[in-house]
Amino acid sequence: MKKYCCLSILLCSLLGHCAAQEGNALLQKVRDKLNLVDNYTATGVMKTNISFLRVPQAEVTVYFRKPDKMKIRNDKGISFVPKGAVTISLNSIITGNNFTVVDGGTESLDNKQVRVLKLLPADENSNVILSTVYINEKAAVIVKAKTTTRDNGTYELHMQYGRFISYGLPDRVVFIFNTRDYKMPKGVTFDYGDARVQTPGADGNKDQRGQVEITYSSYLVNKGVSDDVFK
Amino acid sequence: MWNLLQFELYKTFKKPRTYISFGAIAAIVFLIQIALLINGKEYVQFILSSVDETLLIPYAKVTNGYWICFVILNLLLIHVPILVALVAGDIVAGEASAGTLRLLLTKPVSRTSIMVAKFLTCVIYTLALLIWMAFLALVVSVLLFGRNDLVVAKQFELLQIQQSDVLWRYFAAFGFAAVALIVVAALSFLLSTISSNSIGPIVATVSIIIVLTILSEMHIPLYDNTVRPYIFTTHMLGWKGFFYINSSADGQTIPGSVSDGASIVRSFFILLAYIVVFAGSAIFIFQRKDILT
Amino acid sequence: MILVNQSIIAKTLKYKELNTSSFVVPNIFVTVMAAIIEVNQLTKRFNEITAVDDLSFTVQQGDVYGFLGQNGAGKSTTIRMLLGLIRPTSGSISIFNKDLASFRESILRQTGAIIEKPDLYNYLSAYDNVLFLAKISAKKVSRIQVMHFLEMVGLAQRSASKVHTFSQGMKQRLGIAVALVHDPSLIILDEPTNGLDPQGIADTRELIRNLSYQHGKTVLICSHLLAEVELMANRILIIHQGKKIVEGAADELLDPSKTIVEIHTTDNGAAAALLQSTQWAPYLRNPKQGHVVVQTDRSQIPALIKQLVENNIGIVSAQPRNSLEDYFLSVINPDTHVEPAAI
Repeated sequence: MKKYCCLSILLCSLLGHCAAQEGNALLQKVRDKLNLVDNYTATGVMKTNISFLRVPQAEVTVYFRKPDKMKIRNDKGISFVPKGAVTISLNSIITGNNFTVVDGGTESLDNKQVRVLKLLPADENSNVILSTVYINEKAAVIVKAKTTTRDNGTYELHMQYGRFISYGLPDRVVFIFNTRDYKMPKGVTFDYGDARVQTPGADGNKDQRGQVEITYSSYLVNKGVSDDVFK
Repeated sequence: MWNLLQFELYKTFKKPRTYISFGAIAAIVFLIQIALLINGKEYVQFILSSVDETLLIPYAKVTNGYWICFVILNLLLIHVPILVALVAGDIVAGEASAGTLRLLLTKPVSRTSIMVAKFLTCVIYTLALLIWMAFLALVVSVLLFGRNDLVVAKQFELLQIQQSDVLWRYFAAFGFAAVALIVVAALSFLLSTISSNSIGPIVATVSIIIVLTILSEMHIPLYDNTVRPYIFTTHMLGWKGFFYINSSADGQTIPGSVSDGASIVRSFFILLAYIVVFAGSAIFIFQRKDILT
Repeated sequence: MILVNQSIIAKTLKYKELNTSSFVVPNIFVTVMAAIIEVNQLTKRFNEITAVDDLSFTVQQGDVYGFLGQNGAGKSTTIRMLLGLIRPTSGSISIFNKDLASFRESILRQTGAIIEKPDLYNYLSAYDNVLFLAKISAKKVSRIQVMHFLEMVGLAQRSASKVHTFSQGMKQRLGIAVALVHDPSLIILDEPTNGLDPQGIADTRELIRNLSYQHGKTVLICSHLLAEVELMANRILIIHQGKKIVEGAADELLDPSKTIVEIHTTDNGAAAALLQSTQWAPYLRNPKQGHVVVQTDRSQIPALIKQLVENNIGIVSAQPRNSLEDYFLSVINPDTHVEPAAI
């Protein structure tokens, strides 16, 4: 009996180790694909959907340079970009080896099978507590990433791929994040009409969920991006 | 009638005190522009303090000429009624105390035409003041600070209007503000008719506006459902309605839209009604008044 | 010192020539109508105070009509009602045979007025005041015409000055120019000589006389200066506490046969004793200190003086007392006014 137990434990840990090895290998495949891109300049349309914010669609330019420099710029007008979105990219989630990969099995996402990997940072003081990535194994691209942080709560990245899948660059990214509700300091100005009707339930102290969606129309890959852009 | 109007305009614009208003507006606008030039970022930070941690705010772009103009209008349109009352409150009472009213009334002109000429003078003065303010607040701000999208901060919402969609809103807002200020002029004109010195109407106009503005903005249920919908100060802020852009279900603004056009129209007609009542009452009272000064 | 050195007559004649050739409104009513102003049972109450009480009077064409009364008698209230500044409580006013309430504008087109001190637009120039007030009287006036009116009242050189720099007398003169600029047929003056120096008063008196006698204007003048009214008015109305006391021709009311003469002599006692012993005895009145007082016909004054001189009584001065003043006081205070008794 004891023998069988020991054998089972050995088998499980072996299997687990194998699974982890598989997870690491898959992650490396994704990394390798992403590493094909040193920098890019992309154009697209950004839609912002935050409860207290009413903004027009904006034509934006997104600049990226390895490993984690990212800038979203609207040259024709104003865009309110969530602070986290600037630094968060897929690269920043999976760069380095300072985390433990745990295989989360498979799931169905948008009628497609994806591999779930949980990334646990080794550094206990890291802002990131847990990252969960959902990978299309065949294409070696991340279709969804969910990250829980100490400071900024949980945010999600949803990616849709098309023309640029060979570089691991999405056609469409949806970034879902936490935000506080907006409330103007009292007495600054008076609104016309009844302000409360417009945003029922608005409360400056409550947390809300916001969403930013960028639909990319073009990428200029590895053509160089100046340092000035990120200042 | 034309001779009377010409005379009234000549008298009004010959008085040095008329130009105090124009000077005051210029001084206030320039002070605000200088202050925002230096501390615009801090001011935006203050207003958006609740979301400053969450969103990256492009301060330099937000504090553009269109935004500066909006801030100026918010501040000035509370104070401009005093400047309007300065002339409208004096236009009848000032002549009564100076004794020139009886001089005017011994001329072969009807009391109605005198009052119409005086009221039109108040209207023209108010419009001149507004055009001056529009020029300084909008044109000069755009020249100094450039143009970009306009971010409108409401109490619980932030609205962003694309720059190509802003200018017509300012024209509409100034038009509405003109009507709102003419209500103040008409009130002051009415008080001027029943007083024999000009200080009384000016102070009374300002006091009435302060009290009614408090009633409009305090949102006390007792007044909200009874008095507030009908007092003119509630509707004077209607110019802001042109900047409350409508949005789709997913939060995207719809260019060229206004979220509650019906309210603006309703406010406009209520203000028009006040003008008719105040000015009409003034003319009615004056026709029957004994001139004892 | 006012600047009117030329004859007022010459100036007003020139004013007439200028006006008849240039002004638009025909003065068709002057020769047709006998009664210019007809006031019937006019009453004005301010709450519980009756300022004017059942007042009726008539001003004929060409009259210089003196309107007299104490302070608070109701003169200004009546004048203001005549000009449509105050609404009567009851009664009617007809001017140029038209009801004032219905035809106010057309009446005022032919009426010029100065009420109390003429308050003008202090922050405008004299020129602007005359120009604009003429324009709203529906008179097209050229610069030359405006300057001529200003010259008429001696203000041509100050035409560009703001009125607030003017003295009271200059303002009064400007007020006269403003009242006359549209060539009215009826002129209503309430205390027109207020603030004027003696020369100004004399010039105003001459102007009023000539407007009436030479140009057929009808003038209604309200004044405290009874001596001035006596020199100008041919008809008089006296009111007291809002009521009419007397109205009539001046020469009928002011009976020259009852002139009071005050004679200051070198020996009043001797003079009084002398007169007491002569035919003048019944006409001696209560003496004032330093005077002998006799009431007699004006034409007898030389004979009276001759009597005293022939009896070696030195005459220092002989002053016929202001008959209108005396008359006025007698009608205003009939109970307290004591008819001077014989010595």
